[in-house]
Amino acid sequence: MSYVKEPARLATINLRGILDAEDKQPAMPEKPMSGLLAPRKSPMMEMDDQQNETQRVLSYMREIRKAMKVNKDVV
Amino acid sequence: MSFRDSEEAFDAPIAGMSLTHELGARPWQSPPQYPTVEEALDFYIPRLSSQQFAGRLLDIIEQGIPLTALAETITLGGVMQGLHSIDVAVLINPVLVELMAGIADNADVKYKLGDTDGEGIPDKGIVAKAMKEVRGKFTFDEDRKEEPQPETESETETPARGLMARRGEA
Repeated sequence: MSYVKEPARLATINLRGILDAEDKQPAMPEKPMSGLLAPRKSPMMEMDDQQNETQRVLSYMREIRKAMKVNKDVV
Repeated sequence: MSFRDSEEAFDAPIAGMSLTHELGARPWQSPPQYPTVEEALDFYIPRLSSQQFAGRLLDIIEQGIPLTALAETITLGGVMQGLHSIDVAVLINPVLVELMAGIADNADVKYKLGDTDGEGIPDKGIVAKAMKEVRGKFTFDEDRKEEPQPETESETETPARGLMARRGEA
């Protein structure tokens, strides 16, 4: 395998590994904290929450995996 | 293995190759058509999941070509056409592999992901098929054995010449 093509292959392997690990774990519904005493996020914390490229790619992969499992007749 | 023996040593551009054309004349030297991951995926996903392309894709997957290699080929073509940058190509590769794996799963086609080094080796069936075609074109003399040739004295005595040569020998 060429060293030029290696990053894409490694990205695929690593991201698929993350998704496979997520699939094995039981789904936990995320509930945001609400109410008057809920901690408010500072702008810096909100910036941290913004997705980077890798997280966005991972979410697209997750969506595609879900969609392909649900809709067997996509193609 | 030395550097020269490896095939990859010759699989690289020649020094100065990028200067053989006007700057900006090549598609990849101008701004990409789809600069973001989302735009590039909007371009690829409908094409890959179309009925016409998926049929051909499944044929290729059945032959045992790894999905990572397929995705790399597709995105490399996109870079060469100036559709997106190399960075975007690397980022969309995992998504395309996931899509192709899903298509193969839905069609009950076994696929190779290309996540192990051994998968880069071509399938034995493909190699056997290629060898069969080659054997049909050429005939090999398998019975012919190389006869050992008698050793000949390659070194012939050359008379010593020059300023430092002995006078008696010259």
